[in-house]
Amino acid sequence: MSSMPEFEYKRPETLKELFDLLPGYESGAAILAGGTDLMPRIKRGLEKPGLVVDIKDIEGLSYVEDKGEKVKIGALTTIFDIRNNTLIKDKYPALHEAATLTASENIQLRGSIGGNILQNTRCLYYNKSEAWRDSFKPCLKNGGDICNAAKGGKRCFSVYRGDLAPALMSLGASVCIVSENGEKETALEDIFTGDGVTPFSLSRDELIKNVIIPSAKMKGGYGKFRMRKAVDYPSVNVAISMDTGGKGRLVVGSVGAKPFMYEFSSLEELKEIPERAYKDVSPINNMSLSPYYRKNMVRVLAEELIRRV
Amino acid sequence: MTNFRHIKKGPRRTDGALIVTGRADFTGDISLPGMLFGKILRSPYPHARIVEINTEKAKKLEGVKEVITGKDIGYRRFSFIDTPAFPADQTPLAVDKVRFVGEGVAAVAAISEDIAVTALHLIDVKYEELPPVFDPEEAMKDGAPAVHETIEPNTTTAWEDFGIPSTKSRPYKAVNNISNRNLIEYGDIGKGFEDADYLKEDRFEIPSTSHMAMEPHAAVASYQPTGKLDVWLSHMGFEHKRFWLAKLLDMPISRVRVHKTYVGGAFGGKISIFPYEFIAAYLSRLTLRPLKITLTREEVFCVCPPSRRMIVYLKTGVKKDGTITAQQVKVIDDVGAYRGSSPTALYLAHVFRNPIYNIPNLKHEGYGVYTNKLYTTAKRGHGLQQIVFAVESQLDMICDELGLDKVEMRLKNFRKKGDTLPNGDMLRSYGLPECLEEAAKKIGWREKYGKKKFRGLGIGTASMFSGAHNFPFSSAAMIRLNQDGRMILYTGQAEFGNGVDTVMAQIAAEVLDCPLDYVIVNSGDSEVSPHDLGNWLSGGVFVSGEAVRRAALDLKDQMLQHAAAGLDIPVEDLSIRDGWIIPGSDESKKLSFSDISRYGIQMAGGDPLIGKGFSKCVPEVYFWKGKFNKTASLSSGKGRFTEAYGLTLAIAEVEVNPNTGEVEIVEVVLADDCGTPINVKSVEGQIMSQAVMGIGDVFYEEVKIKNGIVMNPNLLEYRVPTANDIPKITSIIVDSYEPNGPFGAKEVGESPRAAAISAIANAICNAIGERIYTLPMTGDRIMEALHSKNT
Amino acid sequence: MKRSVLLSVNGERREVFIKPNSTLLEVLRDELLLTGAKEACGSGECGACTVLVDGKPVNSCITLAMEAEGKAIETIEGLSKEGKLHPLQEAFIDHHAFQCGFCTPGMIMSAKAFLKRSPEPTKEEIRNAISGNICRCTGYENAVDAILDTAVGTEK
Repeated sequence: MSSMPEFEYKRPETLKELFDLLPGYESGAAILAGGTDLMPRIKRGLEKPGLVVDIKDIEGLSYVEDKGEKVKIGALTTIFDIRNNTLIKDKYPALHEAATLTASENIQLRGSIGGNILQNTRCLYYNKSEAWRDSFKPCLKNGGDICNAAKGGKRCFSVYRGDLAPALMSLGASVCIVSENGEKETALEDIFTGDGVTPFSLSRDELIKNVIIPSAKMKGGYGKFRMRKAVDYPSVNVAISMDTGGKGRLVVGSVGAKPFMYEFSSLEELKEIPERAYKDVSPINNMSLSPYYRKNMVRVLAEELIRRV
Repeated sequence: MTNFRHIKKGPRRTDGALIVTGRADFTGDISLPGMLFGKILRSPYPHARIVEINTEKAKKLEGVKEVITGKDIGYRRFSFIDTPAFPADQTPLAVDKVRFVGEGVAAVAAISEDIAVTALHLIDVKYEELPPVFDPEEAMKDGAPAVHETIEPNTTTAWEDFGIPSTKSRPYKAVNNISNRNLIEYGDIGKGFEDADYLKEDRFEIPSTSHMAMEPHAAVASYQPTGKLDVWLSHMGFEHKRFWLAKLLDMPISRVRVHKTYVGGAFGGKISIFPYEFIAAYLSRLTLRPLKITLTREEVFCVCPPSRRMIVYLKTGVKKDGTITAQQVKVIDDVGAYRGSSPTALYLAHVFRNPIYNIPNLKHEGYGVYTNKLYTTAKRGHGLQQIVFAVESQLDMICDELGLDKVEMRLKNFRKKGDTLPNGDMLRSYGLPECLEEAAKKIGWREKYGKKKFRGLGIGTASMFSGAHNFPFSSAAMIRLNQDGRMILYTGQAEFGNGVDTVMAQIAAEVLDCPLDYVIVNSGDSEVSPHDLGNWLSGGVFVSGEAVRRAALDLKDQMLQHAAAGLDIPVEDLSIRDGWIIPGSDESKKLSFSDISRYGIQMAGGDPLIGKGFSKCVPEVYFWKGKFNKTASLSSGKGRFTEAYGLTLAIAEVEVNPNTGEVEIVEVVLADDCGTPINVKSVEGQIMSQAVMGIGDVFYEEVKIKNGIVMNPNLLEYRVPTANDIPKITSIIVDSYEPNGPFGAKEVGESPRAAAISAIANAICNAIGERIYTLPMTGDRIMEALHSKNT
Repeated sequence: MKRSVLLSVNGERREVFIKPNSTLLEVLRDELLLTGAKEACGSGECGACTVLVDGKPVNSCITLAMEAEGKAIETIEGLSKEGKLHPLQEAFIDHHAFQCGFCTPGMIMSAKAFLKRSPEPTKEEIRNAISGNICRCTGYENAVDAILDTAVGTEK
């Protein structure tokens, strides 16, 4: 048992109720969906919200809908439902495969697409209890001004290790962000700041309402390099989606604070991407496998996936 | 005896219904009225002097009942092993300085766990950091920081308390951080190497791995005003825990009751006394209230000792035909901050593998070395997998270089049934060659070897004691006949998942030829159970099971005597069949067990019948007052330790992806000579369990310590296999029949793991054509090896 | 601040007085003394604490008790009915699908939810369904067989 900081808990039933709640808490509110990312963070003292708002009872946030030009996926749609959705399986193989390979089946049943996208970045020196972190000075991500993983590092090297976001980015997805002031649609890649300290540009009073994917059927796939065949976050992940004209995107994840996205408009261009990605990424020693190896695996995994797709 | 009623069958676990309903009580499930909660403040530094601890603020927090520091407890030293030569070196809380990150410095008792945690934040500790040393080979050099000053023993050491003949204890000065050493020699190593046509020398490094028992460590202690201590803790035999609690608390052993709990996995890791167990008892005595300490998973990883880290220097000499002429082993055991089980492990790293190969000239030297890291302990095999990994890796390299067949080379060098080992232990049963033949046949070694690129085959071997004469040096059992004709069997064995309660019931019910549910097992309770070795060194079935068999025979004998008197016929004319006592002449006069109980009480002076049995692992080893015989020495390896060795042979086939270093196991075959399998399902379960644990060892498992800090103290970063990671695993039981074991049984609980590790590791190296000298063989290491081969 | 919360556990209405930061696991174990669900990792990495909420498996160590308010909570203690073990429980015993048994309640609960959504599974699907339930003793295969056996039994 690890003792959790105290907080209030609310379970609004409408978005309006939610937005009424958020500003009232000075120490911040945390939005709780499946909780598979948030709760361990709270338990380890990485997040100290004054209020936890459980949005699971908010009506109408769980769906996969074909809206003609676009397919919309409600933020509370579980990873499991995405994995089993025939429309997604048929149109967006990269997303289907990413959902299938996420964590374990029980986590898929609990975790939502919105929460999975907005999962925080991770680091071997960061996702630990307060007592463990006592052996170190506070790092950049934890209110300090140093990086414990890269000595002398001036920025945070924590890594975004989500499964779904790279697949969605490859599909050209955008997200509908809702706040008290209304809704706005933003390209998924634009919500990533690239800064490990605050990986997302969303403010505390905004949440993802749904994910929007262009409706055209895409060829593609998802490759996940992980040590075990379940539970694990990706060590490196790659998603590719392309339309019938051979135009599309390749996205590499788990090598930085945000996924690396590459557009291509022909097979020739696509084939050049693995080498480019390999040169672009510079992982450091802050997760299980050596950075040199992970860097190499970017190219290998991308090439393997291109061959397969 | 071939027509067994219960032996060599696979009956359901007698306690199964408790487990599947969630009603088996593990330590963490125990809750007592008025119970307090304890928490321990731990050092963030690997090496520091404690200048001052201020507990005033914490003491004032509402709900806090007691705050203690190392100074309050003082130098009450404990260890896995505590001998005059190697006296205990660890205290429950650090007194003067801390030696590893996570070492306890203060403890709190409070009315809730939350308050206890809050109180820890209010304790102010001033440290003066000292230069740490992390690398054992650095630590051995002159001028390295000293982890320990001179260690003053307790008034007496445990060995003196046990009466083991030895010199009087003396202070221990760790020169160059050497915590302990041993030297075992036989034959003539110089001549052995001279006789060799080929010499091979290598260095291997085996990391610590976690037991990762699913149950996090916990203890509940309840000290009563009568001067009695009740404790509930996860144990693998109560005797060692009870001894140390009593010794450290200065209480009579008999006033400490270690209760039975279900144990959520042990694997050797819960063998020794833990600081938190003592602290729970100590705080309970101070507050006169029950108290519980539960460690978080992160604490378990950071403060409970994992398996021993060893560096093995190995030099082997062989003839051209593959005959081993000599082997020289130097083991550096990076013990961490405290010596723990190192003196035992350095010995076991030799003796456990002794039955495998006939090595006429051998030198084995071992050094335990202190470093400022988490201390280490026994884990399923305790030194075996470390030495076997080195030896089997090197044998494969030798075979590759000399062009020898790896199966034939091993068959040529195996020992033989009937051999006497250099220390006097005998191999009365020895199925290892048969295990190899069968495993090779099953996997198709001869057809497959070297045929496919990036496919590899590898062999691993292992052997293991079937118990030893560790404290308390023997096991006993009692079996009591009840009025209803059912029996209660009392054994000190601990059910920690091995199915031992069921196995003991099978043994008793076999002797008494009655249904299994006639025997109700009461186990693992120090106040109820007789004397027992515990589940140490895989002696559960062989030693304690034999005690149970003899207790059942004793009861049977008494029952037949009563029946003979009651029926007025000679004992020889009676037999027991199917829960009845049957006179040979007239079956209609048969008596039930219940009849016998009534006869005893009414007609034989009120005797309700209790059977008693005991067993000692190596009866010829003894000591009493000044007399002793063949008492073994951990330091010189001389003297006998066990009566029978379990043996395992594993062969693995793997395929390696040359682009990623990912490995797919095609199949692992484990052939195990465990003598007679008492419960076939449990034996298969033990083999399967260890094959899967071995997969974890080869692919992912390592307690990673950087600057003294455990970097992967959770289940995402310390990976154990999931259900999706299990390949085809085949187990073959080679029943060799051990004449000294109960119904011919011997060990199965520890050797398969070491065999599996070496087999899979060798298969990977065979597939990539390059050697990896350490574990785990992760993708990055495999790619590095492939890369070095290509450049 | 503590508050009164009404939970439905194994069909029984249970009122508990708890803080909002109490996990479902803490409330089940410490308040309701239902100790079948175990804490092994405390952060949703192992599945030993798996219980069902409205029929879905959750890691109760990272689920707040208040999240389960108004929902049907099912624990291992609720599985046997009318003095009889659930077929899954029988099958786990038959197949020696546990050794130490610490992970067993969680694994059985995962299996129960799984067989409901997938009554005719393959072995591969079963493995995947329990892939979030870490077991250190058995090597899983006996559990997979037990679950398969139960599924076949349900068809009868």
